[in-house]
Amino acid sequence: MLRTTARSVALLLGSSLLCISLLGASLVACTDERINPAPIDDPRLEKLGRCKDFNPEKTPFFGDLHVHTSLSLDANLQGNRVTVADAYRFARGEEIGVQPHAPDGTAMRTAKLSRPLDFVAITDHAEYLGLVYGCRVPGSAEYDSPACAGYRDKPDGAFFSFNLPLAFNQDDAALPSPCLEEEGGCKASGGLAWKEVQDAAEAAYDRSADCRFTSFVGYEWSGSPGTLNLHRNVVFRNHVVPTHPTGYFDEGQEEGLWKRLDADCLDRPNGCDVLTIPHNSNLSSGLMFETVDKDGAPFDAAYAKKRASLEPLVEIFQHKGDSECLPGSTASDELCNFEKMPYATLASATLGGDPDPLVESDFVRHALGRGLELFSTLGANPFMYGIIASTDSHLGTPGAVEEDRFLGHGGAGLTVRDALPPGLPDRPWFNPGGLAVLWAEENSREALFEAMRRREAYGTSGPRIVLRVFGGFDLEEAACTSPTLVADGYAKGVPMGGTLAPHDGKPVRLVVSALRDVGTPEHPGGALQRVQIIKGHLEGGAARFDVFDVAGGPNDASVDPLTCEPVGEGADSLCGVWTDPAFDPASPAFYYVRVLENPSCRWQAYQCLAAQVDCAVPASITEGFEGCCTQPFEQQERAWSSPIWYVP
Amino acid sequence: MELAHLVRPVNGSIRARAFAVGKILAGFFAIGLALFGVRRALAPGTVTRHALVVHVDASSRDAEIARAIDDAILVDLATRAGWARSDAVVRERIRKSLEAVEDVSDAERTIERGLAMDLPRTDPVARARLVSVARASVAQRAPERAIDDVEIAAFIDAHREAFEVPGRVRFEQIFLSRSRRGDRLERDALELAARLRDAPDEIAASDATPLSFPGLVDEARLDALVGASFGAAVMRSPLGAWSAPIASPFGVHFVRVRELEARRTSTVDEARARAISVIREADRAAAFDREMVALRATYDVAIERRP
Repeated sequence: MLRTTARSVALLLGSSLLCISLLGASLVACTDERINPAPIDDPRLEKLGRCKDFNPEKTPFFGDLHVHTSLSLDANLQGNRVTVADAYRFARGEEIGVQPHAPDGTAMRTAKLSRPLDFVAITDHAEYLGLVYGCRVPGSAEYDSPACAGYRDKPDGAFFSFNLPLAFNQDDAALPSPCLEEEGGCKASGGLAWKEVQDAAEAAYDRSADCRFTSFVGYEWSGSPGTLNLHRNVVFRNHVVPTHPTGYFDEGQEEGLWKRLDADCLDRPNGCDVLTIPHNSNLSSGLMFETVDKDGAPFDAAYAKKRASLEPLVEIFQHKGDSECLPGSTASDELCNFEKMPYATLASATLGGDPDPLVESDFVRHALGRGLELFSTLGANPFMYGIIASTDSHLGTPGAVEEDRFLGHGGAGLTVRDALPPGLPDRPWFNPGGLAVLWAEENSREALFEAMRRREAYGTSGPRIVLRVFGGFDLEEAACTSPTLVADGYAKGVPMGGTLAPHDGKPVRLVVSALRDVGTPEHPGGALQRVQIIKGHLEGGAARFDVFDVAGGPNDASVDPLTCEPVGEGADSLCGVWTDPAFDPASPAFYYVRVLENPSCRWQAYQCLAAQVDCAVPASITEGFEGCCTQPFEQQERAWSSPIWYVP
Repeated sequence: MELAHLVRPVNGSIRARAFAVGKILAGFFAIGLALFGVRRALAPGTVTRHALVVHVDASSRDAEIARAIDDAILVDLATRAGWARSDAVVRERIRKSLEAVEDVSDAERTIERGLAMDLPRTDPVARARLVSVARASVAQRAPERAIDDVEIAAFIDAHREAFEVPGRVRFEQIFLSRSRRGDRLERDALELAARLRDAPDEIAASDATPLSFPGLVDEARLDALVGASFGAAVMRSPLGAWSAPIASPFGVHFVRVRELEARRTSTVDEARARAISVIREADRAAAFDREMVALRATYDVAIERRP
């Protein structure tokens, strides 16, 4: 078991001693002033209803809750020079330059979204904020240190040297030089970096009644003992945030992170609010959804409630693969086989090599099932996860999900710092990532954060599919033809992310409606193929899963292998009303929806066609294009809804 | 880089601490020296004049000569700050330049050789890098000043196009689904159009859609949700009357606009953060220009024209 029993003594010793233990790549003076003393009547703390787009029946807002800029160690060392402000400009539709860069600083590539995003959280790694800032800014306390000289002179070596402590066991991970405590802990530089994050978010946020764009202050806690991924994105409700982010070197366990967020944010009467979103459970080799706490003790009800409260969402899909389900494991579900990484740890995902055996317990569907099992014994469900997707872009390009213009991941994988590598822009097992979609009354921090909290959210693998799900017992059979579908859904049921209590033994009924992504004239969206419901329930105390087609179904659609043009018919919209045929009113259950598009070309297919790679002609497979012949040519883009739970 | 150097000692020995303190002091000293050098170069009151020979083509025009002078000043500034020796890109360029002609296994010796050969000034890539680094350093020296609402209002007024807010519309709709009606869609739409003309407030039941449109919505959002040209069609629809049928990928829509908010310019409250950001960027550019004027005054420049 990788979880260690030891923990930070500092947490037990009160705030003053706690400060002494702070080794964060961050930040400022250790006094009670660590906490922003913002008054609760701060006019910037919003109330719902300030926006002109207020819609009580809610609107789908598309965004990205996982983005790295040049403030992240791995991105920076791989050549990222995009600032937090640049990333927000990109999200709002402006063109920016991206790596590699010419010696005079000119970006060799540019990127621009075909459609702006509605919201973004920039989530740079908390661990080395001070180091990254200090090593780049002449005059900082760290700039002339030997370690910073190495950082600048030998970025490839620095990439591994500085990432190494992040792979240390939770109790042994500590900041290296030049951020040793006796060197100042990189605190001043970390404070400036954290301020840059906050200032850029504030400048990008549309506080007018137009509500055109929402930014969230955030960061990533990047614990990865043994390179097993436990990462969480930390997203704050508003501008009231702790005066430093908490990284792996500050708190080695996720429970420590949550306690720190309690102390620094949630327990403060200043309007601070926060949630955490785990990601890449697919690269945790079973660690992400373990059912023991940091001391190795089985979860209890208090733990389960705490986790469900602080972690209402999980990121199911991003650059580094899909975490929905393990093909061939839990149900007859051939469509589960989508963007599976061949690796189960961060190290192997970055370095490549022989594939790892994938671990069933790394996948969200399994966790949702384990949640039901734990609920039946604890009376609380620690894995009550709503669903989002995001990019995890390390190029500073939120929402750049188009398959036909993938620029690479930028943090792991191929280095694109000083020149473009020959062939594909990144390891072929990566992908352009997905989007988070939130159903909210308006495009404001208040409304979007509440949508996250109540799990009225879904994820897509990139397309802007509009997916709506309602669950209840008295929803109309004819809901799909009713012009009051939405109003009835809220009045008689719950939306995605909601919970149903028993209702006279009646079976759960779901109404699912999906519209295809219309795309743009230059990049039309794909047609829909089918809508599926995945049901999880308990049978003999153990989780079992079933997959149902509820609208659309298999078809003959495909892609033209010479042009990537779609071939065959699909649907512009699909709607289905489904009543659970094997409903057991005594058994807890969950239901989530998966919407599939017709097949389309995977990202590398476009680049392989352009390079005239023919896998039957070895001479055409030039350097860097080997991935053309190892990855599937086509794929099925999709959306995953948050579940609706039935809790007897 | 050695791992032992990077990882914090578990029980920091006195020697390790002393080493660390030494490093810190040495670091401060080096930083102090560099800052002192740069400050002296930028402070007209403590003039240390520098002679500079700038080579330009015989056919160079005034603007090109001015640019060459500024670049030469920036390279000199960067060199005197020590960046020709410490910058990773310049070091790598020196190494690559020399590896074909001599042993480059000793990195520091290679750099010294490159500096002695004046490679940072003569190699175009290294030179461009030094210009870039020095330019960024000079630009960072802009002092941040308070920007009040009067100035913001004037700025918005002078840049109305950049601060334009698109028009918005609030509307109701009747939706006929293509997937549900299939071949009947066109006929149903024509029949409904006729009924709406005769009895606009007797709305027949339409088809379901998961979309409930936002209160006030602009053209771009409508296009994003329903398809290109849908937004423009809605914005063009008459106020208070049912529109002609509007086709989308999902079927046919009839809309009745209830409220139309015209295109306008942002208010100061709405645009304050963005305006300040743009003004500050302009401040930095102006400060850079000012610093360059001061810098130029500390140089005695001789122009040598190459045939």
